[in-house]
Amino acid sequence: MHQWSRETGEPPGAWLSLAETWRLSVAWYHDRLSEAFHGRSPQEAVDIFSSLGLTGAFWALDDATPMP
Amino acid sequence: MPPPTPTNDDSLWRMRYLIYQGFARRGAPPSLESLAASLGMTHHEARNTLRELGRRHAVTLTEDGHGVLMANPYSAVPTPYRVTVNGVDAWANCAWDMLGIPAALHADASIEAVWAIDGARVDLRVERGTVRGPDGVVHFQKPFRSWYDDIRDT
Repeated sequence: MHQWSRETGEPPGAWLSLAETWRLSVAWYHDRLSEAFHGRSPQEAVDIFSSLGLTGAFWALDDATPMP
Repeated sequence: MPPPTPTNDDSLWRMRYLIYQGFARRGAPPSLESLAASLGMTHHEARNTLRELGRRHAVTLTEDGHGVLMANPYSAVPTPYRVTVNGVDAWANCAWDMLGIPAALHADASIEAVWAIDGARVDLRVERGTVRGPDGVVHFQKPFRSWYDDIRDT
């Protein structure tokens, strides 16, 4: 990914293994089809990221972050 | 043009639920006409309710505002991420979302995807909570806080 970043000039961003992405998917989407799901707050999203070890500036949100 | 009408929160979240049920059962969202009929709304009321869902980022609308383009993790249009769950084919918005569909459905899945780095096809499976297939990584190019600057380009 560092090579891709150098070649494209794009910021490197973040990358997760497929297993890590699966864990993020379960945490993020497990209740998405429920009628009771009405979205989540930025803090709730940060809590999900943090529970999976996704911390730092890339995963940081503030109260004004638009949320799904 | 008729003035906007206030939306009722119960109807709002019921519409959201019906959209997701459409994706789960058929791989595609219901039409605005179908949503209006299911909810006992006029076309005008249904369109305003759909727009409110879009405004709240519960779904992403088509450019004309009359349909659903994305209801994460689902896409209403073809993408490089095709996911089959319970015999239903659906499109995911991105590599994260290709795993998001079986996660949302709590089910196994077959996935046909394309590596972004070289365009090669990759076949993956989700079996009882484990992703099986070639090793690879999922690239998150932009931080989440900027996704809704343009949700189509994350």
